[in-house]
Amino acid sequence: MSMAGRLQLYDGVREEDSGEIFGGSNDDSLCRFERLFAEFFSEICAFNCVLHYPPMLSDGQDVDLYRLFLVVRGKGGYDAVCKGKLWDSVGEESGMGVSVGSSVELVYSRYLSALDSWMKKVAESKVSPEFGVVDDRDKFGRRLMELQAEVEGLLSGCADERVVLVGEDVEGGLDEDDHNLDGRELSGANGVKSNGDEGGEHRQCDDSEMPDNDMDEAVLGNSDKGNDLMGGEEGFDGGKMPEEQAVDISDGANKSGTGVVSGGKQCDDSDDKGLVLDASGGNSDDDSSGHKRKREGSVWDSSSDDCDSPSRKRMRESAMDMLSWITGVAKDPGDPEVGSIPEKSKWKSYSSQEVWKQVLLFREATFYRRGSEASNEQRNWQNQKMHPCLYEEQVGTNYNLRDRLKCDKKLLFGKSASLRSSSDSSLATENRTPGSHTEGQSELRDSPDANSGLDKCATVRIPLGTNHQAEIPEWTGVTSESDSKWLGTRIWPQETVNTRLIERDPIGKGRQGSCGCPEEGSVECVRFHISEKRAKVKLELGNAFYDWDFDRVGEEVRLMWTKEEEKKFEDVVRSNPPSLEKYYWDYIFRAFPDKSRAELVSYYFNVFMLQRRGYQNRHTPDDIDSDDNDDEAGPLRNVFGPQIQNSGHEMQSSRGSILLTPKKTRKKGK
Amino acid sequence: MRSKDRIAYFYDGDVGSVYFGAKHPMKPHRLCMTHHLVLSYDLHKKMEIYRPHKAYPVELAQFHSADYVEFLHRITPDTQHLFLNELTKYNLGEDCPVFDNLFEFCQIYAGGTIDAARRLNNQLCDIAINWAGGLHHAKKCEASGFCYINDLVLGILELLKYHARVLYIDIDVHHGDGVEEAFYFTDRVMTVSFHKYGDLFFPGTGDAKEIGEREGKFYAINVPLKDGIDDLSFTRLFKTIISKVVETYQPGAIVLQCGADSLAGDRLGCFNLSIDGHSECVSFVKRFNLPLLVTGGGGYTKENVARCWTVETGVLLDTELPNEIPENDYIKYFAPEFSLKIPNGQIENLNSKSYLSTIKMQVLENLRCIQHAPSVQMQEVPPDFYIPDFDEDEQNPDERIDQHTQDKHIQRDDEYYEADNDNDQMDVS
Repeated sequence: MSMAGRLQLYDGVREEDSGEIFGGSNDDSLCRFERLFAEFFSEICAFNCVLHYPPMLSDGQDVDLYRLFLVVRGKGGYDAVCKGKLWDSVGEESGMGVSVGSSVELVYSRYLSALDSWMKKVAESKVSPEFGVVDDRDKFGRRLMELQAEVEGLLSGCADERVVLVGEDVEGGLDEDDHNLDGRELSGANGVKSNGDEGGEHRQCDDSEMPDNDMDEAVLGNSDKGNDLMGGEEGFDGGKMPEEQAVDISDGANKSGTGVVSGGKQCDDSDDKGLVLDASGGNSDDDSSGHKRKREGSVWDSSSDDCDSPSRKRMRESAMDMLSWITGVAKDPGDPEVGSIPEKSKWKSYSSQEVWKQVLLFREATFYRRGSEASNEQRNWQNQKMHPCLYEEQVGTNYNLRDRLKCDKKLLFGKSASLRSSSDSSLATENRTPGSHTEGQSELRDSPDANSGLDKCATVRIPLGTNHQAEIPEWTGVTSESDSKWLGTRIWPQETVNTRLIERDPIGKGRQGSCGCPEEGSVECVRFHISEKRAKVKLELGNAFYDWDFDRVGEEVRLMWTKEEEKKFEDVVRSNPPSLEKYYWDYIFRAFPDKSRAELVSYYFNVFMLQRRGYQNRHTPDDIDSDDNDDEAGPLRNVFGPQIQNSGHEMQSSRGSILLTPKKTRKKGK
Repeated sequence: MRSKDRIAYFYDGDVGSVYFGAKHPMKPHRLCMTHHLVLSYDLHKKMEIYRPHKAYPVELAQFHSADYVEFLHRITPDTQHLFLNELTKYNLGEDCPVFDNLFEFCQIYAGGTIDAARRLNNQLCDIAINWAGGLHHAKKCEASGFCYINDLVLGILELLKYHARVLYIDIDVHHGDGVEEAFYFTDRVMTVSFHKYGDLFFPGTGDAKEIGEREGKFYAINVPLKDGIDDLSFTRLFKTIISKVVETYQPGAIVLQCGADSLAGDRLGCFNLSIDGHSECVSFVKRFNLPLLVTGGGGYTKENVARCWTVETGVLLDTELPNEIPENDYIKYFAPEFSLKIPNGQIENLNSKSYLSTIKMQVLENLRCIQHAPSVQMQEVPPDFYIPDFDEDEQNPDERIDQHTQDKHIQRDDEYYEADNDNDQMDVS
C-alpha cells in the first residue's frame, strides 16, 4: 500500500481514536490500533529500529501497548508524563504493577512514541487541531539516546533492576538459568558453544550497519557471563538505533525453538527466508532487509495475537503453551498429540492461536536476528530428531533429515556473497552496494511489499486458485486411456509411395555452390532454380504438395491474381503508409470485397513481401527490412474489424503487455 | 543413415495464412516458412508428417474454462465490439487480438500438440514435433501474450495419462508462466523455465523464488536471466540444471518448448543465443532418450525462426544441415547470405559469472530438497528409461545410454562446474 493510502487509513482511524479516548476502548478499536501499529512499523519506520514482539517488561510481563498508549495520552502525552515523573503511575494504570516506571517509559518510547510523533505530524499537516492529544515528540530521538545511556548505566549497575533491557544478552544475564535450562531441554545441546569463533567472524563486518553484528558481540558477552556487556552495548550506538528487545519470552527456548523449527522448515521451503539466514553478518542490505522482514513478522505476530487475545495474561499463557509444545516435540517427535502443521500456503489463514503458528511466528521474528548465532543452533539441530510435521504434512513424504540438515548447514555456513544476493528478495537487482546503511533504508522504503512475515512475494505473483491451476488426476499407476482416435492424419510418407520418384540425393543437401546458369544470381537464375526445385518437390510430394498448400506458396500465388488486382494492391499499400493513423489493411479489405482475407494475407506474404524483399536484397542490401513495415513503432492496432478503443488500455495496465518490453540496450546501434 | 528415433512432425498449411494483424509481431506465416525450409532440406524423408486434427472445444476445456473456450469459439472480428466486457475479461484486444479464423488457428495448434502427445503415449513415435504449438502464456480463463489456448498444458495433461511425471522445459525468452501456473500445485509436472527476468519484462513472473506450492512445492523451477546471455553460459547452465533435474525427477516424458525469441536479433527478445546454442539445448534434451514432445513458441524475426526450427528438426533427426539454404519459394527471405547462420547478437551480456552461479546454486539447492524426498510414486513407478523393454524394437542396446554411464557423465559435468563455481565464490567474497 502506498504512503498516500496509508495516510488515508490513518485519517480514518484518527477520528476513531479521538473518539476512543473518551468513549473507552473496545476490542474492535484495539484490533484496529494493533493493525495500524503493525503497519506503521512495517512501513514508516521500518528501517529505524528492530523491535520485538510482543513487548514485555524485563520480568516477562506483557505490555498492552494500546492501553499504555491511551493512558499516556490521558495524562497529557509523553512529555507531560516525563516531566511529572508519572511513569510509575502509568505503569500501574496500565496494569503492569508497581514501580515499573522506567521499563514502561522505555517500552513507550521504543514502541509508541514514534507512532505518536508521526501521528502528530499527520495531524499537523492536515490542520486538524482537535487531535492535539498527541504530544510533541520532536525530541524522541534524543530522548531515546538518553534512555539508552540510562539503560547502559543500569546494566553495569545491577542485573535485576526492573528495566526493559536492551539486547538479549542482558536478558540472558537475568534469566540465565532459565535460558540454559530451556536451551538444553529443547535442543539437547548446549546453546552457547564457540561463540568466540562467531564473534570473530562477524566482527569483520561493517560495524556501522547492523544490529546483528552487535547481537553477536552480545552473545559473546552472554557466554562470558556478562563481562562484555558494556562493549556490546557501545557497539549498539555506533550505527543506528540499537537493536533492542523488550523482554523475550524465555529466551533460550525461543532461540532453540526457532532453530528447531527453522531447521525443518528452511529446507522444506528453501525459500529466501531460509536463505537470508546465512546472509547475516555480511552485507548490510541483506541484513536490513532481513530485519525488515523479521520485524514485519513480529509485528504481525503481535497484532494478530493481540487481536485474538487482548488480555496480557492470555498472551503469556499462549507463550507458555507454545513453549511446552516445542518441548513436547523435542522430547517425542512422534507424539501424535503434537499435531500437524498444514501446508505453508494455508498458514496465513490460521489464527495465531495455533501453537505451531506461534512457533513459526517466533521463529520468523528471531530468524534473521539470530543469523549470527545460527551456528549454535546448527550444532543443536544436528542431533535432533524432528517431528515430520515440522517439515510438511504431505502424506508419504518421508523427507530425509540428514540431507535436510546438510542443506541447512550449507545455508548457514556457506556465507558466499552469491548465495546471499540470491537470497535477497530482489534477486534480479543485485549489485547493491554493501555496507551503506542509508541505501539499505531507502531500499526498504522503496519496497513496501506488504508481506506478512510468513509470505514473501515476487513482483508478480503466480495467481492461485481453481481459476488458474489445471485439474490433475491422481496418478493411479494404471495408464488411463489416451484417445487413440485422434492422432493426426498422416500426410507423409504417403500410403502409396511412388518409389520411382523418390529423390536419390542425400538427405539434407544444401544449396549447390554453382549452378552453371549464364548469369549466376540474376533474377532469372534465381527464378529458374526456385521453380526447378518446386517442380521437383511437387513431383515428390504428390498429394502432400496440395495438402500443405504448396500450390499457394511463394510467388506462385500471383498466378491467381490478375495484373490489375496486383496493381491495385500495391497502390492501396503505397497510398496508406503505416505511419498514418489509418492502416492500409482496412482499405485493402474494402478494395477487394470478393477476395477472402486469407487470400489477401497469403498474397501479402507470398508475393508482395517476397517481391519487396527481393528488391531490397538487390538494391538496398544494407537496409533489409525483413519484417515488413510492421516494424514501425506505434501502438498495436486491431486491424481486422471495428476498432475497440476502450478495452485495450485498461488491460494494458492491469495485465501487462508482451509488447511493452522495455527497449533493450545494444552495444552498437543497428 | 536413418534415425533410430521415430519422429512425428505435425503441420497444417492453414496456419500460414493466419494473420494477427498488421504491426503484430506474431506471424504464423513463419510456420509456413519453417515447413518450407524443412522440406527444402529434404528432412521430410526421415520422418512422418501429420496433419493434426482440429481440437474440439471439449478437448480444449480439459484445461481451459468452458466459458472461455466458448467465447473464443464465438467471437469474430466483426462482432467483437458487442462484447467489450468479455474481451476485457478474457484479456483479448491488443496483445491477443481477435482475428479471422482465430478459433480454427487455436484448434490446429492445440490439436497438433495433443495429437503429438497421444502418438507418444501410444508409442507410435519417440519424438513428436509441433512447431505451431508452444503458446505457453495462455491461462486457464484468459489469453495472454499472443497465446489463446495453452496447447502445452493440454499436451502435458494428455501425457499424464500415461506417465506419472512429465518434465516441461522452456527456453523461450519469456517466462513460461501459463504452464507453470497450471501445474503450480502438482508434483506430477515439473516446469523448468529459462527466461529473461527483470526490468518489467513480460510477463513479470519467473523469479527464482517461485518454486511451486502445496504438493507442487519445488516442482517449479525458474532460471531468471538478464539481457544478452550468450551461447556458452546459457548452454552450460542449461545442461547442468537439466541433467540434475532429469536425474532427480526421473520424468516419464519431456515436453520442450523451443521459443525462438531467445535467439539473437529477435524483435522482442534480448538474448544473444545463436542457432547453434539454441539447438544444442534441444540436442541435449534429446539425448535422454525419453519420449519427447517438441513445440515452437515465441520467435518474432521470422526468418530466424524458420532457420532455428529447421536446424532443430535436423538435430532431432540426427541430421546436420549444410549452411547454404537450398532453393525454395521463400529463399528471398534468407538474403543476403542465404545461409543458416544468423548475425551475432549485439546486446551486452549482463549476466555475470557470479550471478549465473548464484542462480545455479539456488536451483540446485531447491532440487536437493526433493532429491532425498522421493515421494511414493517415484518409487512405485520406475521411469521409462529404466524399463528394459522400452524401445524393444529397432533400438540397438549398445547405442543406448544406460543409467550408469549417464550418471557418470552427469557427475563429471557437475564436478567441472562445481570447481568452476568455487572460483567464482572466491572472486566475490
